[in-house]
Amino acid sequence: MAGTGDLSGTIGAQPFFDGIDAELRDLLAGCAAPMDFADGDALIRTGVIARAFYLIRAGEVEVMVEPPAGPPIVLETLGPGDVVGWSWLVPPHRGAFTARARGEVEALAFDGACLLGKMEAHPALGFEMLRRFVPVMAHRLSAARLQLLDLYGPDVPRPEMLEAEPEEPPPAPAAAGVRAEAEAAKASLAIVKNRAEDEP
Amino acid sequence: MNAPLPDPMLPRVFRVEKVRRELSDTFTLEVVAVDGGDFAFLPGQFNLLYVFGVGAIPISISGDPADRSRIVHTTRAVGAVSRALNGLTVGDELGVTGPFGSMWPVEAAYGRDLVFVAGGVGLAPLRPAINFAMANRDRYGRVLVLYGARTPEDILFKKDLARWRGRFDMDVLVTVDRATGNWSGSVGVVTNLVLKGGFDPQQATAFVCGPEVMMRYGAQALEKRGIGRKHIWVSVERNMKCGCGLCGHCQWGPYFVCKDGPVFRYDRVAEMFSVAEL
Repeated sequence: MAGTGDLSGTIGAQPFFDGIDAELRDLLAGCAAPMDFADGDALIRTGVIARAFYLIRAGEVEVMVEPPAGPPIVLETLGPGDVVGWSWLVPPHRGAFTARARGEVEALAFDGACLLGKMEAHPALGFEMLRRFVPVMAHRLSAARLQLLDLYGPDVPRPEMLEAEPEEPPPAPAAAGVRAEAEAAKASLAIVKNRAEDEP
Repeated sequence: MNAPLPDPMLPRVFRVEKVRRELSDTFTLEVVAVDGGDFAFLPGQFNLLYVFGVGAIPISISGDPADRSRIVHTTRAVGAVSRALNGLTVGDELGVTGPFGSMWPVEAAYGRDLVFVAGGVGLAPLRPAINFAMANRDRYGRVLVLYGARTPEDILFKKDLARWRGRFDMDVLVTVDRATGNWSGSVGVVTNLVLKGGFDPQQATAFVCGPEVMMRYGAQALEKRGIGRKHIWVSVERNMKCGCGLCGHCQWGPYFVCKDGPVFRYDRVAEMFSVAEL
């Protein structure tokens, strides 16, 4: 089993903890352990107390909703360098979604209760963790909103759909009609201009 | 005495040689000139396609710029003209004017990493640039294609993506917004791929094409990864009629998309992406 010194180095090598202070890294190492998952293993389950978060070192994790009837709906896949789970940070600490290993997964697991205790005792660690978690949460929220938009779907208006729909082409006006229309437009423009000039 | 130049506004007649149903609402037309002549274009340019008796619409060219014997167009059937185009069969004739507009600056990117970010049918206007990059592979650093689609069934150019992925000198990452069936690939928005993509942001040029909202967030993700705005290019779509800046249909702020675009350097248009109803 890896000692906390080894773990501290491993934690420091993770992009998520890039540039973290060595002292804080050692505090984190006291709450961390390497953990492997087999295909289909749940890292987090919907509604179940989330006791940890995970940093994926190898493999893929699916974040999904498991409806009572029908197959699970995968919302997102996460890979090496990604963080899985923040329910450990947010009361009542129950998983909002299920996260399952897709194939074999190697991860670093961080005990939530242990970390929360250390974050209370060491505000610098608390700040550091929030400073790193909040951008991830913001990115995921933004990505989820984009997914909701159904960007590529048929119902999103886009310029290419502004293509003219000449179902019934308008009849070509006679030249005299065009002249009359132009005169009428000129007259209405003159009215607008006069009104504008009258205003203080 | 010199022969008069052909009128650029006069459509050349082309004949449909091949029709491919790419997706449920997306199709590809391969057309050849009835007069037997060549057709040259630059990656990123578009043509105005005329369905006689119906109307004309601008469609990006999705073929290989090295192949001058034919023009390839891929588009969705969303309006009267594109639905009429979708109804054409082999042997039918249509009018073509073009090519119009600006190009993906593929030659200016020599020596740099190339990052193609495409969403949905936005892969079609990028395809000529990807073909160009493949034909000149030794002139670039890393080449990445990052592609997002709605579902696995909506992935465009599956054969091309598989072929590109099969090469040892480029990376292709595909993600879908909604996984269906036995999809075992990535799920999530295409911006996630940008944040993961293996390229040197200091040495990379990015070409982005897709729905405008996707391009906005895609370009922001590229910036976040460290690519400067001057090295990000986007392809904008607007309703175009004349193709040469005369009619004003495609005005976009200070630009006419048909002649100043459709390919724009991002730093020149970034602010306009967040202006509502522009």
